[in-house]
Amino acid sequence: MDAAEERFRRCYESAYDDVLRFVQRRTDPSHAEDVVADAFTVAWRRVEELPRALSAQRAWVFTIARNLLLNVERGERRRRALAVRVATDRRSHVIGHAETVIDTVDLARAFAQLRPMEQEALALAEWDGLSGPEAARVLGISATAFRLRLSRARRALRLAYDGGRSGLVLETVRERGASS
Amino acid sequence: MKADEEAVARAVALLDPAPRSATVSTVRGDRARADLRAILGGDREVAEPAATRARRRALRLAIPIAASVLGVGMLARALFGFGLGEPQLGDPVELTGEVAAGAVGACRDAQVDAVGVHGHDVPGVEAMWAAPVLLVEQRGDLRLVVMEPHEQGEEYLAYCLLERGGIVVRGVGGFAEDVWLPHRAASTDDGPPHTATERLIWGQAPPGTVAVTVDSPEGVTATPVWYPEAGIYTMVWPEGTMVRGEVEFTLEDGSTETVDL
Repeated sequence: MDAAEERFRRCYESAYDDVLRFVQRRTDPSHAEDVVADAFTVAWRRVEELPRALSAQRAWVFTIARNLLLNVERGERRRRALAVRVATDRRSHVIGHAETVIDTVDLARAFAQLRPMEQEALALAEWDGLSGPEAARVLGISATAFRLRLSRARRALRLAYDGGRSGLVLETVRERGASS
Repeated sequence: MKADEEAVARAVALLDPAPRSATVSTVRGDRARADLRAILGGDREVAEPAATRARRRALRLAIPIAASVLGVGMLARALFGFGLGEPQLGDPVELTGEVAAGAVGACRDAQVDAVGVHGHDVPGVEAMWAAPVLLVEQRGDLRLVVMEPHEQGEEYLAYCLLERGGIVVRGVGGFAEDVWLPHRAASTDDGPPHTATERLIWGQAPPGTVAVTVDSPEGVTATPVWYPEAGIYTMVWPEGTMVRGEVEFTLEDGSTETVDL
């Protein structure tokens, strides 16, 4: 096994789960493994560009996967961002306390009111756990631009939710976070 | 992280359709192992979409023929559309048909000397998703700047504004209502400027500027973004606040200059 293959194999084994989740959040889960395989196929072809750090490798493969998904989307209709899916049926799984049940349906409705690029910024930061510079690299924008986009997305989510339920979810979540 | 950001983070986490705890397929799974073997074993086409395979095979046959007919330069441009070559900063591109006519017409109508066109509206450059891309074609007195506005955020506008009076045109259809004029306060978000709720402020910095800061009114946070190559700064002014304050330029010799907003 040569050095390039060894590096690629380590990247594959360490990043596969995260890349799979990244794709599952953005496309039909039944196609996700195919997209991940495509992404790693491209990554292997360009293995000489594989970053050294594991976190950077993950962001790099995310970028490839996102571009693959965007290419499919563009065949249907030009998009400005990649749509992300949301879960709406896991409230009991996540919360687990009847007194603090959070209405994820309302939250999902507020999330759906955001622009796709705002949804994507929140997803990269909060679901995929990317740092600002990593998320910026995935989107092909500057870290500053991403920071602005994320800041606007957070504010837009609050506004969208507050318009529907006086900020109950976010306030509740904040209070729970402060008390834990 | 601020408490407000934490609250949003926790709320957004509730919507994650693929949380870590719910992942079933892992790298230890049969499918993942098989894919890795296929990729490393040279049997990569196993994991390659059929359309990609067909395209590669077709190009393998077509390239020698096309090169002899078209010449290498034209062939290279033609290949952009097939994803084999990704245009790089400054690469030339030929605008044709409706896009070129619209861009040139918009330039003349607005009496400006530069125009930006959304990259995906340019026939043959569908593969422009790769990285910062800025393609330029000189057409007589006009300079056509082809870019990826939705990906580049503030940068694309700054680059466009580098050209005096430059404008950005998005979309082939709905051309007229989708023109961004630089002398208006424009948002870099989706939508034409008249619907923007935030204002994108921009301006040129004096020669020798190395940093830009803003002294904004209390309670207003507007962070300037400085583009040294373009000599331009931008900043997003919050919704519902008056645009006032001072922009301070730090020059190479350590001195400062200020301008009122």
